[in-house]
Amino acid sequence: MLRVESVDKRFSPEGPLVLDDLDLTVGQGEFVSLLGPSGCGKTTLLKIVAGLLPPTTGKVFLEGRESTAPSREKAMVFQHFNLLPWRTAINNVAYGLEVQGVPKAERLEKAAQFLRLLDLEGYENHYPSQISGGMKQRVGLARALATEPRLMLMDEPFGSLDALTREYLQDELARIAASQNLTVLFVTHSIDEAIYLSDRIVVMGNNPGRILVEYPVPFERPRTTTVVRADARFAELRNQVWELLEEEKAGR
Amino acid sequence: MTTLSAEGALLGRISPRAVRIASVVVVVAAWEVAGRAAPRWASYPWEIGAAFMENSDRIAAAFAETFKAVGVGYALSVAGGVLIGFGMARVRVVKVALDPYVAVLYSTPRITLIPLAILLIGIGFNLRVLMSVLASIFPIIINTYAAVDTVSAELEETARSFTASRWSIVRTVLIPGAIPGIFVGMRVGIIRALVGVIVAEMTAGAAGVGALLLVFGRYFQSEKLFGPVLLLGLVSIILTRSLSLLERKLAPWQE
Repeated sequence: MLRVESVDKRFSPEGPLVLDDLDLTVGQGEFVSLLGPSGCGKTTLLKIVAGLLPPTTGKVFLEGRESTAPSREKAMVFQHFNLLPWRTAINNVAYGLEVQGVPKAERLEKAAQFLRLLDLEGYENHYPSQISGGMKQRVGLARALATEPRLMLMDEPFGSLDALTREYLQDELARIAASQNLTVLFVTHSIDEAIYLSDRIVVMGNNPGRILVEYPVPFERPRTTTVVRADARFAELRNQVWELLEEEKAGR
Repeated sequence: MTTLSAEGALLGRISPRAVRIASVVVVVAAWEVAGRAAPRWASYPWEIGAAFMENSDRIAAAFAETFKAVGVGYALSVAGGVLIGFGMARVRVVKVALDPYVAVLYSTPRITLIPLAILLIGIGFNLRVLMSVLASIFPIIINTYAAVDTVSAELEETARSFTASRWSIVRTVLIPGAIPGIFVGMRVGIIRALVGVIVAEMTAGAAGVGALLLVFGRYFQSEKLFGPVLLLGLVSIILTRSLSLLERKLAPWQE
């Protein structure tokens, strides 16, 4: 589905190497988390996959074709929601469809449908300033889902929410990802979140940003945070990842 | 309610509107009394009202003349200021090329340009329009520039991620994002446009409210001076309020 091939990234010709020879694949229907300390280049990698940043060398393939720019096959969810403050919830959800040229009646119908999926019925005509952070991110999720992308790119989408809201939305995302059979590349710096949500965790290290190791997550999907947390394998995997990140930090 | 201070109790019982009306009544009455005692000093409300009614045709003609120039000048300033501000914010070469003119003209007292302007275009309608543009275009340029420049880069990136074209980024992100800032400039600009025209009329004096005021002053007719001045103030308030209403209609997402 997605293949990242030996991607290097420098922000200027003489600048430091931000990403070093990165290879990554994500299969159809797979949920993969990029986990790493801040500054390891995981967001940069996500933006390269999105086509928002060019790689210095290397290539990104989507379903076998090289992908160098944003396209309808991809949709992104952002840490700071990035809703348009001058659009109501329903018009924010319809935004992606609008710039992609979907006729008005059709895009509004689809937006209403995804607002319902995200439990936002009744908030169609609220502006972002009138709803809570958790609701804003549900609008952000609905906006991405409404374009029916083949690949969802999520950049620490729950990173700026309070703990309870975050957990609630993690369960919601797990449910939707399973029911819609989404393919997701998910950036996070929370080990727990990566375990709750993913099929596979790709751990990245710092200076330069590179892949250290990949862990498969042993739980069946769909699953919920409470069930995962109660499982002994959760603590085991969590410690394993934690130690690896500690070692990496001590190593420099 | 015994715990309320005397002051608190007073404000609690009397509405601010009543205080405002009482204040105006007291001042106008005092002015009437003092003015009748020394009529050539500053006239008094009754005489001012009578003079205003008596001269209403002349005043109306002068206002029409003045606001024709304000209307044309302000329209040019809004159109030009928004375009130039957008250009400076989005096209680097436009900003670098225009920066010196904006900086110099904005900090020059524009009234000093009037003698030169008279040499170039005379003292007619065009001079009033020019002075009104020079007075009002800079706040519009500068506020538009700042507003477009600070529309979040993240929102632009978001639009790009959904495959928005350059033009649809301008239409869906930059323009709505800049509206509040453009209105700040427009509200400052409307008053400046009016002042610019009046200043041109007072210095080059051919017509309009500015010229009329000079005539009344020259003949020591203080009772005739107040009416047009108060009316100008009233019109200014109406204009800025209308702009605020328009903004609320165009940008309803703001609190």
